[in-house]
Amino acid sequence: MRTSPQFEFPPEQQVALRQARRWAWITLGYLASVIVVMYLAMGSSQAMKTAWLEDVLSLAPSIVFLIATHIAVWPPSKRFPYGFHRVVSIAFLVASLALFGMGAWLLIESITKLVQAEHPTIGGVTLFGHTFWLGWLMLPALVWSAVPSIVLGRKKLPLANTLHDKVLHTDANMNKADWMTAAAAMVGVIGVGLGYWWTDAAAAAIISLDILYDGGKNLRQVVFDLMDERPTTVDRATPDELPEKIRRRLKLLPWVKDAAVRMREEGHVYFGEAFVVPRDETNLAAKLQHASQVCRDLNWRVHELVIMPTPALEAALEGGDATNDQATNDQAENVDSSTVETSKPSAE
Amino acid sequence: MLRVVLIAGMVLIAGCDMPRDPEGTFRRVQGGTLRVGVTEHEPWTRWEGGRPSGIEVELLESFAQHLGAQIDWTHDAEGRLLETLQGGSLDVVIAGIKDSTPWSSEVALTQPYLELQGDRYVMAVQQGENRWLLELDRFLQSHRGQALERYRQEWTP
Repeated sequence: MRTSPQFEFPPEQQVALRQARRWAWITLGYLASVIVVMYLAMGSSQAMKTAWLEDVLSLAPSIVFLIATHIAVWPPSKRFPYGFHRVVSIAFLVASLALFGMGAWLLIESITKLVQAEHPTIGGVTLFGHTFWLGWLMLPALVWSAVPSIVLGRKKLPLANTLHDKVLHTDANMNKADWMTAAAAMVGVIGVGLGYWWTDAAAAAIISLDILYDGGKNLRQVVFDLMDERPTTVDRATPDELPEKIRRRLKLLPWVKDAAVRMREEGHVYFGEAFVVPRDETNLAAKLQHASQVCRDLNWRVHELVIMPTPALEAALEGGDATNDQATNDQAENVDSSTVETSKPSAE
Repeated sequence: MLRVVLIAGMVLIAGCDMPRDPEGTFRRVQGGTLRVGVTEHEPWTRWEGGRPSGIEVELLESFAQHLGAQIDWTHDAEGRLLETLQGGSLDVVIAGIKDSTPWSSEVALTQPYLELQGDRYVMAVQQGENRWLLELDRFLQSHRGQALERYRQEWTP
């Protein structure tokens, strides 16, 4: 059996990977300190508890990233001939489910507290012989949970783009948005301090909505990944142009009359098939091999491209929207239409 | 944006005396009446001839004096008192309560004012009355030595 090629990052990505892994470890260390500090200052504030659980959950993307970048580079084996790239999606699925479930549970809990008009108790704490309000410890704990997090998010975002790593991208964005959680929790705590008992549960409900939203968004994205959605840019905003580039590169080969490409993402890299209509079939095997190499040289993310010669594109792709020459000339349109899809593109 | 939130927050909280009670217990008790529920639990609380005594009773008596308040004593079973406390008709319940009490999720407990052989003794107040709880905590924490002293007097001949 022939396995897929060994995973290889080019030098630039190797450097980015090392940096990203280092930032992931720093994030874990920092979050561990946040979790301890927040736990000590938590009291019986629902907003603090929710913010704390969000911090615990935000360990997940970094852990997923570290595990995934470790396992994803394992060479393919006989048993797993496509390699281990997809471990990224599986780990991310688990993390998103945890986020989603926890968000839902916390939302129900906060609403219950609001409905039952449960008054949160934030009492005194005695340190070094002084007894003062625990809220005064919660506020700096929340600041510590927010400010370094923004810096970490900013550091990780460009690395995520270089590595084409969607887990890291999501993680960086969540870090960047973390101050909003802290701000909501602070409003809750200060509200309680001013004698408004409901601000605590209300802040907790807002934070759990945010957790739920993040979880739902990630869940949707990772399901799309596992459904082999067409490749997208790392922020998932637009379809990646790479399949179209490959198609045009193939058509530039003198022996190729027409070509169609479909690709899927597995973790950092793309796998795919190209269908070509040869003009000249002499020496076809060597030509195909050369064409595959040319395509892989286009971008490191083209991990493996299987090229299949066919007498006509329509015959190769029953029901698929085969491309024609006019579409090639119209760049605005062709990104979408020329990537061969055997099913309807998912609505976004 | 973050900076704006932080600065606005600091200005806001610097100008207020936090925490405040949602039900205003501390303000009401100051110069008014302190409603205390008592259940007998030697040596912390006793009830003899319609009069309370014991270490916790003495602590609350000096707390009431500190606040310029009269005490209105209610004698009943602990469970009944704690339910009344939850409803807001009492301000403190004393019954030699330990911090391991199963009631800890229904009422608010002070910090332990005395620790003996792993048992930590607390008083119970209504949930969410944070100012009131903090003032009682402050008083009890500054009288820890006195509580221990009284305990020794009671239990060593």
